[in-house]
Amino acid sequence: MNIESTPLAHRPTSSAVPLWASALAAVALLAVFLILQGNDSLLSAEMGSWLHEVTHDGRHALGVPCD
Amino acid sequence: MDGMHSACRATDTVAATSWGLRLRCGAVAGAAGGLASVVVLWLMVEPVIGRAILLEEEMHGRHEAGGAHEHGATVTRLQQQIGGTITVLVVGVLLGLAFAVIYARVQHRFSEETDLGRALSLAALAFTVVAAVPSVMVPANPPGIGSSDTVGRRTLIYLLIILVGVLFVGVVFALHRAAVDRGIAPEGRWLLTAAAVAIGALVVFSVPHVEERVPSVIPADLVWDFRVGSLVQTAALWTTMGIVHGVLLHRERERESVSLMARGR
Repeated sequence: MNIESTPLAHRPTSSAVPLWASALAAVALLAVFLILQGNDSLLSAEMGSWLHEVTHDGRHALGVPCD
Repeated sequence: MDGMHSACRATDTVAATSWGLRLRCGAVAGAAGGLASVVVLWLMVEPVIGRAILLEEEMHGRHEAGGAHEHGATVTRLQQQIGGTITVLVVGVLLGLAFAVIYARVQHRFSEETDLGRALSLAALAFTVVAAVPSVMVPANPPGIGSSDTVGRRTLIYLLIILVGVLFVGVVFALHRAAVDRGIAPEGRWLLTAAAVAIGALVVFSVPHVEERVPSVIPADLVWDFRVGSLVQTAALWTTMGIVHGVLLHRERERESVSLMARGR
């Protein structure tokens, strides 16, 4: 236990990330993509086009390509 | 939370609290980034989208007087504005979660001494790779400019740019580590990194950019205002996320080390 290392100058050396955490990050990034651009790749055409319209301003504002 | 297992937790506090806390810090930081981004959205971007949609409706002879843009779905402008706000917040939280995991994985690569410094460095890198560089190569456009014929190609290029950017950052860090392993002096390592970044910047600015033809009825300042607003918005998102993530982690570590000392002695 390294009590001496102050939290202010905490120098981490390990980089172990459990698999589930990496998977969670990947799912989060995939969800960002699906919300912003791939609206109709998982949903029905109707739901996809609704989501596309509802997210319209957010997508343009965040600089994601759109028509 | 702190109840019955406290006796056996002293030794693994740092590891055990890490993931629950890390993800919570990430989500809160992401929400804060999303909020900051929403403020910019309403102050700088929504007014421009409003101007663009008015022009778009004029161009199309007001055939959709009710509101939504050319796809003809039954969503009103107000719903798009509220939806846009929710979208930015949700994207903020999701990016915050991913940020927390990536931060845990790469934080030891940064030379800053504090979580705040390291989190801000990672946020600055993220802003550069996923916002600034793509904005140079596939610029953000207000509604009514991009053609639906090219949106697939533009999206693909946009994603490729981000992917190449992430790989490039990885290569620069690997280069730096290789230089450390070979005992190259800090000045030499600094030069090496600067040279790599300069080459990267040169590539970004020399590769032909995807530029849509802006319809002549759309004033240049509208496009300019939109692009500036969009960049400020993504900058607000990443900066706030980095600061809040760093501050929260710092506080957690402080709390951890206090309770470790209290239990350890």
